[in-house]
Amino acid sequence: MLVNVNGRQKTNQFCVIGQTDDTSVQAYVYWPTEQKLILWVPHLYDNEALVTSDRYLDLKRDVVDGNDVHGSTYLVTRSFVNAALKACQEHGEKFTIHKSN
Amino acid sequence: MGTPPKTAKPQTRIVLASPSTNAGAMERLFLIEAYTPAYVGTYDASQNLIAMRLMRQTIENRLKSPGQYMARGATTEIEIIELGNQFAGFGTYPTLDPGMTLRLRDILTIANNPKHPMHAAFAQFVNDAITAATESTTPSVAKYPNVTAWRTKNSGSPGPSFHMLITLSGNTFYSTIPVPPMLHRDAKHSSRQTH
Repeated sequence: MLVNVNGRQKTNQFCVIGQTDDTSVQAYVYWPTEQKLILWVPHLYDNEALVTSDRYLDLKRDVVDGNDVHGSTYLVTRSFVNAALKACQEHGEKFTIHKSN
Repeated sequence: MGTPPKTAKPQTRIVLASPSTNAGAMERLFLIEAYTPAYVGTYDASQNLIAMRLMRQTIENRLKSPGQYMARGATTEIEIIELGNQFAGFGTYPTLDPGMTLRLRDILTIANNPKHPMHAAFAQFVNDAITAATESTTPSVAKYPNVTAWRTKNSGSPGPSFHMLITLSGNTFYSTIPVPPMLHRDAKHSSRQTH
């Protein structure tokens, strides 16, 4: 659903890296084709979980240099993004999805 | 005479306040920022109203010194919400990002559909947002009256001037570290000055 709704290219690359702690599981979905980093949290209606994620980060717009996002609930630091992408590169699952519509 | 036909109890439709009101903006913000009952393993019904009250308290505390939170000149809750890239999808409020619009629509659709298996949980979720946005006693009911920010759990800090308070139902709340008063370092009057 994500690619068909928000994708602009026919071929779309993805990398997914999971995170877990004592109480929860979540994952970041890196979509280099659209320069997005999307938080996925287990959701009962999973076909919409990525499209409606409240942390749907545009890597050209929502990333700040330095270590201060000045109180923002959603902006992230470049070091946070770099760490997520490095973890994805080293341990994530990579795959391709073709837009079907 | 037969038995009279059963009449269904009319359901009260849950409606948010107008988007142009402070309450309406906060209701929408809380519904989008909080994890809904569909987030299995993250949503906690017993903590949701507390978390939404902390969101309300965050907005009210920021309104006391808006310039500190990228909303210089803000005099209303709506302005605190829409200024300074502080809340995802609200930068052009009352127009929301498409994903946020869909998320909000889904929440209200389920909350108002008695046939949906999660109707009761979503109705409570929406009513919690309305309560948190409209009650006038928030300062006395917020668990941490000095809260000034929140972040999705495990997504980093809002900045070096913030101190972590608590994580509730998927969001971690923070307070602003008070700036210490400037110390006088005038060498002429320093007690360590040697003669």
